[in-house]
Amino acid sequence: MKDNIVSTSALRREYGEVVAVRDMAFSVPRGAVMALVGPNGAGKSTLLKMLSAVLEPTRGTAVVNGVDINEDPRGVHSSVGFLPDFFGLYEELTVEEYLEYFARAYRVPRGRRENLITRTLADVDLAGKAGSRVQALSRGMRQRLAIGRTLLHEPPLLLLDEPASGLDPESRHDLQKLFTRLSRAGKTLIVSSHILTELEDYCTHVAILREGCLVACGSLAEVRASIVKKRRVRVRAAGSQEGALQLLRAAGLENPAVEGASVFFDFSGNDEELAAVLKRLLDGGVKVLHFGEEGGGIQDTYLASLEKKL
Amino acid sequence: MSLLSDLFPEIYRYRAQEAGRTRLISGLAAALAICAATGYSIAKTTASWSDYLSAVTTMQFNMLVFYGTLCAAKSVTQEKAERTWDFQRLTPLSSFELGAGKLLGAPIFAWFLFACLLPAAVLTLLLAPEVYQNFFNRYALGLAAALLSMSVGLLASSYDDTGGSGMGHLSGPLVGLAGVTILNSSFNYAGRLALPYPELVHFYGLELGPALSVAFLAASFLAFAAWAFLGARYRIGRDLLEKRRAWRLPAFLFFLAWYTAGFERARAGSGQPALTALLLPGLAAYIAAFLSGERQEYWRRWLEGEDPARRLDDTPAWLKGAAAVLVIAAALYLVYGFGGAPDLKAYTRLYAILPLFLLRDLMFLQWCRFSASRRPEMMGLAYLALAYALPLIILLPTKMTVFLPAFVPYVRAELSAAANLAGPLAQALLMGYLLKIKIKAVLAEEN
Repeated sequence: MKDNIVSTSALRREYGEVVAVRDMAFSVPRGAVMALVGPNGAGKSTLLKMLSAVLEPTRGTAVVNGVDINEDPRGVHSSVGFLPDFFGLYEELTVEEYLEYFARAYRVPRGRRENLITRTLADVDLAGKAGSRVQALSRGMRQRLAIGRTLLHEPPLLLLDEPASGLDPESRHDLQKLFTRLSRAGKTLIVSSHILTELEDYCTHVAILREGCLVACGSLAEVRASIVKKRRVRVRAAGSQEGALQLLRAAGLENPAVEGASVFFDFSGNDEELAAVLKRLLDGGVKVLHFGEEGGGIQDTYLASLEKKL
Repeated sequence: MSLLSDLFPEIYRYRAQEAGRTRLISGLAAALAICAATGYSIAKTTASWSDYLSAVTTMQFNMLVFYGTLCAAKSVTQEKAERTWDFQRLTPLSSFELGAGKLLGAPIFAWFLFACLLPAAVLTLLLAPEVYQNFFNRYALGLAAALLSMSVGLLASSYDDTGGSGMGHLSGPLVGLAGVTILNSSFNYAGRLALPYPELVHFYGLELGPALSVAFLAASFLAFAAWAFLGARYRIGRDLLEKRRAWRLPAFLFFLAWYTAGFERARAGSGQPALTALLLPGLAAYIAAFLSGERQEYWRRWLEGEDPARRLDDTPAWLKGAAAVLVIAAALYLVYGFGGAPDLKAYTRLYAILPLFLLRDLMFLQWCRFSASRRPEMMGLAYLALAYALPLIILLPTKMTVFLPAFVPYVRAELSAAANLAGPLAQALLMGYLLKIKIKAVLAEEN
């Protein structure tokens, strides 16, 4: 429990008759990067708002960095950098003035402010835009400035709601690099997004939401194992694939077949057992060029989860 | 300024947003031109320093009150409309720091224009010291009225959930116009104090002299400005999920009753009920109940709360308001209800009748909040208006006025006190019973 930065218990939020988040219980380990995935209306934004203590739950609670969101919502704010799915910037200010304002609001001591703002500008690649007015920034720059604001008070947890929404591929790539850097710096990130393929590169955990319910939650491998019962594995050997096919058949694996220049088979064991299959191929003299799962990323796991009944 | 903007970062932001160099220079140029044009026209007409001071301060304070109120009245509304409010909520700034920062920071350009005209007024005082009384009266009343108007603007803005659309746009100009009216009325009043037989302030039997009357008026403005600021702070604090405080609304209602009763003492002493001292807090309790919006979720949390101190603080506004008005009515009855002329004795029943109707209405409002209506407050208001209007429409033309006390706050001296009170008491009890059933049903449904 102690190394979980977020821990929820029967967390529920209703808007009148509509249940946006239904009795969710999950936890997020410190230092994880969790992808929050689900269709529109799944309850992702509501969940993030409750975790950042800007929205009171109808029932249940969550402990964020050791602070209960019901008992001390203001205490939660100091642990959290929340980026909603809108920018909310002051258009008439310059980039530097904007960060200066929030540094003052976050009670950063006067002596530290200048360094902190310079460092934040560098972190979000806006050092060259310090004197520009916010209204003159591109969408990608605005998004980075908004992320810069969430970093100012150095929170251990970042809650990012659709951060890549509406960005061009280059800006999305920049954002992805930024998240990887933040993750390496020890921050815990909970990122909701529709662009699932991009999450795969830096997410360690995933939570799948549907109609306000938590379908699955945990490390990528755990969630995949709970949803995708069989993994599809591709083997590519140098030269003919026949040797590999024979060995796989001899090992009793399910549905081995040659498709194009590779052999595919279904596998329902764990990672250790899969490693044993590879060893068997190598010991059998097969020159393995590629051995790995096909699919199995967040997108495939999410798509597979759609078949799961709530 | 730097220390102030460190304490209230909002001031830093407004200064960066609103006080650009071009704006400051053009504002200063306009102020100088106004001073010169006013000076020229006064010199060509009355050539009186006092008239010049009056003209300059009238412009100065009308601009400060109207423009400053407009700015204060859109301070929170604009944040909500531009969706920057959530980010302010996430900072460690308290409701006091945010509220005070907005109150002082939002009208920063209005304060700058005010400061530009100040040297003209001070110069007049130096050149013609005999205008000092007019100078101090106008600055005391003007600054107090400006703070009052801006605080009410901030209060309106903090309660505006329309995001600045529709009626939300009107609150600033309306409060600004009210502020300008109060300002100019107070200037006129101060002017009339210099005439023979001035209309002095009488408060709890004390007759205040001209200077004290002005000081009393300014202090009253400041007191109500402080209450308006506290109200805005309370509403901002709700958005920040700060803990509520049980005493604030009752304290305001008690203050309002005490303040109003100060002007009614002579009337009440002769046996007429101190109605304004009861009606104004009642009206304020009504408004607070309508604005508070505590619905099912809030009630469930409140009733299931385990900490008694927190439950007391979280008591729904209508309950606090109704309880405070009952206490006020009891206090007014104890102070004024036993003396006075015997033929006016029956009217002391109003001390019980008015709170009973208030209680009935507030319970009905809460009953509506438990209904499925999307706008229960409006629904409640419409039904309550009918509840008062229909008996009048039906009973007056049919000359069945004997039944009126059962439906409207009305004293019929021929009736016994018990008969006069029976109607409102029965309605309050019935409404209480219906509300109790409703609460039980709603909470059972939720569980």
